[in-house]
Amino acid sequence: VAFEEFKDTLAAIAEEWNAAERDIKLGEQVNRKVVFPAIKELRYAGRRLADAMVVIVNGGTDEQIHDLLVDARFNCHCARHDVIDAATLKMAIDLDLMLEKLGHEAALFAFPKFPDLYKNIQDAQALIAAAREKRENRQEIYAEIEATKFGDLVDMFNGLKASEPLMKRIATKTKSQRYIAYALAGSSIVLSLILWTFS
Amino acid sequence: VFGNLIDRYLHSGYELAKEIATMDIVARFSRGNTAAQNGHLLDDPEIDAMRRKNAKAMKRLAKVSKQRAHVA
Repeated sequence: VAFEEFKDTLAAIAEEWNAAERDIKLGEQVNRKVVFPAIKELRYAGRRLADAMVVIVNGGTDEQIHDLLVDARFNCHCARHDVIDAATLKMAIDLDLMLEKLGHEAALFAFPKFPDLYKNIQDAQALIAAAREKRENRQEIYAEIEATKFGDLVDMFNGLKASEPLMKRIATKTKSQRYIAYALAGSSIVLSLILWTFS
Repeated sequence: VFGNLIDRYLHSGYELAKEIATMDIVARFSRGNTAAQNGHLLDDPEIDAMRRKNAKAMKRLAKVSKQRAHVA
């Protein structure tokens, strides 16, 4: 087996693996669970590398080794893509849930950069959608997201998470006031009906 | 204490919705991973078995998260 032939592929795998681990560390800051699919992909990559070593030791063909190494590299790509997709989707859903369940006022008051973060996440999602459509440019698009957006998005999202307790407190106050107003309005109507009946 | 209780009551739906969203995302991307193997290592019955096992695990995880959110 001519190992020189696989030198570039092995170097590319190491590079991809490092990039995937960097992305996974960022993704973990968003949510520890959403990185599971990416970690699985790295596990598959490790399995392919182990298979390649077995083929090398048993004197397999260059083609067999090449195929397994290419598979391993592909799995590293998938890990990078999975963690970016999953973490971005998680951020987008969490933001929507904050607006829906806690309210716009609470979100804006507790985290004034909320609209900027919302827009940046939408931009990242638009890029991801474009990457899915343009298979030939997929790698470049994800590299761009990694280089320009992903780290900043995670930083901003961490700031948002730090503001979440305040957001909840404001939402509680707003909801409590609303419930008290409903209760007062309901009581007034009932009281008016009682008075009207007995007058 | 009273404030925290009110918070928990009012926002239990919010926390549960976030947990369910996380589970959905993990399930969505994990399912695709079996396809990445392209049948090279696992044959079809094995992939089916893996998929069934994953689906079962995800249901169990969702149930546990729901119970945890309820207790919290």
